[in-house]
Amino acid sequence: MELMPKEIQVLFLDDEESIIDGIQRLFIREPYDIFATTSVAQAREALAKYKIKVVVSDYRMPEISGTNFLREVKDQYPEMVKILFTGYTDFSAAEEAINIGEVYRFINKPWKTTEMLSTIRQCIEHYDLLLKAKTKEEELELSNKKLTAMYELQKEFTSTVSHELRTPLASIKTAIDLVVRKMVGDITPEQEEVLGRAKKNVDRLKRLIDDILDLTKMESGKLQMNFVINNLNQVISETIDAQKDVAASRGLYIKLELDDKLPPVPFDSDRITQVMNNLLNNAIKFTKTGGITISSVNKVDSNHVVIAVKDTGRGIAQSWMPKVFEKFQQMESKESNEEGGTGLGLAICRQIVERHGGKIQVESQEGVGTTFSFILPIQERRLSRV
Amino acid sequence: MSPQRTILVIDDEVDLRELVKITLKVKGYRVETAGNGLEGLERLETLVPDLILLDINMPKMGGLEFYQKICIDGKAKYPVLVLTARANMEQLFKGFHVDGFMAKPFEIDDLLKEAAGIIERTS
Repeated sequence: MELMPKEIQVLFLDDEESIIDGIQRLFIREPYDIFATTSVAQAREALAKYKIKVVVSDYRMPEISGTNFLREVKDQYPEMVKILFTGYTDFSAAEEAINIGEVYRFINKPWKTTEMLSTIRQCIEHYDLLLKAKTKEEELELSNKKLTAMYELQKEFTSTVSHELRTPLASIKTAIDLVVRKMVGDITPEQEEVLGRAKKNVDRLKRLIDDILDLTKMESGKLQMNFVINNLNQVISETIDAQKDVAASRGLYIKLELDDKLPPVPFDSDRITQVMNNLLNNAIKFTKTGGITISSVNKVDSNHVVIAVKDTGRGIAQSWMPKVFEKFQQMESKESNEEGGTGLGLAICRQIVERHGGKIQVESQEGVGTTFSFILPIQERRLSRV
Repeated sequence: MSPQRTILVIDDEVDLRELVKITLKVKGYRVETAGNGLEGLERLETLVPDLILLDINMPKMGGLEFYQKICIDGKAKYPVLVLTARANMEQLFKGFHVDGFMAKPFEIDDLLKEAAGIIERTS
């Protein structure tokens, strides 16, 4: 049977022939082979030619010092494990070898066979472990890169899809609006009703596309937030002004209980307006009698402000409570003529509030009403991300 | 009586282009159309619009390139209202002096208001 040639994994450099001869015999029974030489040139060749894991070098040699040779190895093959082979107990030599040559071990002359063999074995093991760790690290880096690329692709996809959906929707919407608004001639009340229903659903589809794009961006943390110290009460009031008429047309009251000692809070006013709009929309949608109370409170002790939207609506069943902030979880609306929601509003609210370092929560009692409230931290100083 | 204003609508989506044309004509504007930036440049050889409604994603020549072509010293020769279905358009046009942005789909009222506003401001 032909023996597989053993792989040369260890290099020995020593200027004394007798030592090299002794070393050669020592490793005959080992699972790996060694390359032992008195010549620096041959040693360099071997380094380039074989897959050397461990380099053992004598300290005092006429051609080159052990420290310098090992430094050379370190510079060219940083992964190789280096051992200084020395007959002198010279601390400054040891220190120099460690600092300059990054020597991993020392072997003293004269050596004991068992010690020599076990030291070399340990060094090979050390090399293998390092190599394995390095490979793992590279694998991790690669899969990270792949993930990033996939994420970019998905983002690109989402924005392309949303563009592709919006384009035909714009034509449909404009066409319907032109007719409903009687800009291209009179229509009968029946025609108006039919197209009115089409229009309502086109608008709903548009909101859905906007919400999906928003939420995708938020969930991936890629939505740019613009935190500015601003007057929170004013932003709240403006949102309410815009929706006052809708509430009034349904016979609902809107009460404001704003804390005039509200401290300046850093927030993204477009996004907080979005939160307020969503909460107010929901409150109006699910309240038949009574009304909505919007409040702001400065909680000085806990360093945050609390904004609450409280309604006297039908409330949320206990079984629904855990799901209200989840995507596409919609309570059935009893009103058949209700403007359909997207099922994403509260999920978006939660994302926005959390991006502010805040928290949103809900309390509800069936038949009595629901309160959505969120906190925004005062002391958080956030700069807008670029 | 104010003179009739001319609006150039540049969009490759023929349906939307024609619908926008109808909308604007009903409101008394004179409307010219082009299907991409290159056609838009051709129209401008004989036309001096009071406003250009500009789409972004178009074949042959897109809105961004068209905009750069009508710029002198970083300022467009005509008022421009960008109409686009793409999100984050403001980012792309950072550094340009576009007169307005409108996302598709839009409300007819918003479009008319924005267009009238720009024409008033710039004339």
